[in-house]
Amino acid sequence: MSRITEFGDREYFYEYPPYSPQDLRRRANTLIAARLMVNAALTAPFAGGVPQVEAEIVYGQQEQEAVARKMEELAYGNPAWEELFKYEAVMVRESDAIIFLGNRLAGEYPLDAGCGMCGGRSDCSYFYEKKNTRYGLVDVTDRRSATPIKGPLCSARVSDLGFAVGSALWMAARLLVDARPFASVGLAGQQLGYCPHSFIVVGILVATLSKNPYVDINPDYHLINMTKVLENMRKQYITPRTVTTFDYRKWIPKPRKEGEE
Amino acid sequence: MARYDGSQLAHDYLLTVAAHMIQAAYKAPQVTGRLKLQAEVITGEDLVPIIEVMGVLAEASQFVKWDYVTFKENYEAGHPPVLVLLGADTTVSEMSWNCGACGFSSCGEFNRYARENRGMGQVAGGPSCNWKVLDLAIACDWACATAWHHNVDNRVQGSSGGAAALLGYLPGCSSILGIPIGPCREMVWYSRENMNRKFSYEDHIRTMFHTIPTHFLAFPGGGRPLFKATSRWWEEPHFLGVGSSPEAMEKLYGLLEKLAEVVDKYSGAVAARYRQKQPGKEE
Repeated sequence: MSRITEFGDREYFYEYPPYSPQDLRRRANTLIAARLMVNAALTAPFAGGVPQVEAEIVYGQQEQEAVARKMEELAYGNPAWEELFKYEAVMVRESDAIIFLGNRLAGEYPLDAGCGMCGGRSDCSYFYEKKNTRYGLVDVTDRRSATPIKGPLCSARVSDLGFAVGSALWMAARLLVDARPFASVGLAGQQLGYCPHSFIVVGILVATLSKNPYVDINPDYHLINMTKVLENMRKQYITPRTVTTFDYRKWIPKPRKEGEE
Repeated sequence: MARYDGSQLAHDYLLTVAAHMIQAAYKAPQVTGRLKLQAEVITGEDLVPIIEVMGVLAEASQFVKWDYVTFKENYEAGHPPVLVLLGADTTVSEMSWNCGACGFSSCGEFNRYARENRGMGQVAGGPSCNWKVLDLAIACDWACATAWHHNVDNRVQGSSGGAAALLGYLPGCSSILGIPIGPCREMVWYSRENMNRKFSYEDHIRTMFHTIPTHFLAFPGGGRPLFKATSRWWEEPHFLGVGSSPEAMEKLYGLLEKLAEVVDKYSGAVAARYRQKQPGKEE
């Protein structure tokens, strides 16, 4: 732009087809909302005002596909997860962005207030007795774990993460952006290395589509969803067109007129 | 036509704000979708037992004292805060996610342990499923955000929530968070005017000495922790020491006895209310 008189442009927005220029403009706007959600999360109330929540925003077809596939992999690790995680993997693919919020302190630096939430005791023994510690310092170098999350965690820190997630979702609600928090997305993200310093991660999916992609889900959602239906449509329509072919340059079939033989 | 006193009107409106907060808490998104949230609002003279319990806890804890004084003085000045209690039983996991965050390898093992070892900490109960704790926190955050959007000063507290739990409010909840709202003025729960002149300069500095001692240490290479306790610290050297404190423990046991007495005084009446009728319908 060399002269101010040239100021002016058009920006067309539409959600279809996915990843078209008009859809990318829309996604870029969602990203602004996601960034504001992250800042809202960072201003949430924390016990003692201690900073502890880290965030990461992930977006793009390949990046989201990787998270969805990790969730599908996890789905088969636990019968209680299978359907849930498979359904939610679809939601990851349909989202505009993923926000990961994690707590950096929950497994190593507890609140040390004897609050009672983790173990129902008036000291922090429940946490410390299950950790490798000296002088209350937690040795976290052994990161092997039979479970996806290496517990126990300081529940007061987890509660603070909840405040952060709540504030992010509140900002989303105020901006009329669809968002929901997921354990499945968080676990997958954590295993992929997002929020690398965190002991527990929650994934928030964000979208600004005509239909909220996180509600009103049909059964077998991993098999019956917009992407799959469209793929099948592409498959189905081609074949009848192919098998009834003719040379349209010379003749096009017309509906028979009334009384015509 | 009617005329209203603005200050009174604002104060009365706190109850409406509390209702909005609770609605937001119930509407808040959840990760588990299984949190059984309970909510209650405590106003006026019903705050007295909670303030009294906090008064005992205040003797052992500075942050409780801070909340206790703010509650008590505002109550005595005739403009009590309205206390929103949000709670849930976080000691059960029905999800079978076996995520491990609690420290057990399966939800089944956790549930068995939690059933047999349920207990109370200094502000809440446990053992807890961390995903339930997280959901309760999201709900609580939405309640606070709602108060904020109504321009009402508020703060999430373990102190008032814990005091309410000790008295038997919200039976069945392992974890209760208290959110006082109001009274209606610029700042109540932040930069607390009520705390002016409650702690002397020396009190503040002593707190800093006790809580961030390394900040005041001299050259550490000598191996002896020389503490810079005065402006001319080199003239009268202080040294940092570490040790147990039987006096502090004795004081704590004394407070627990006192606490049991106060709880005993009120808990019967609190429990009776839940037997009689729904608290929401109470006059």
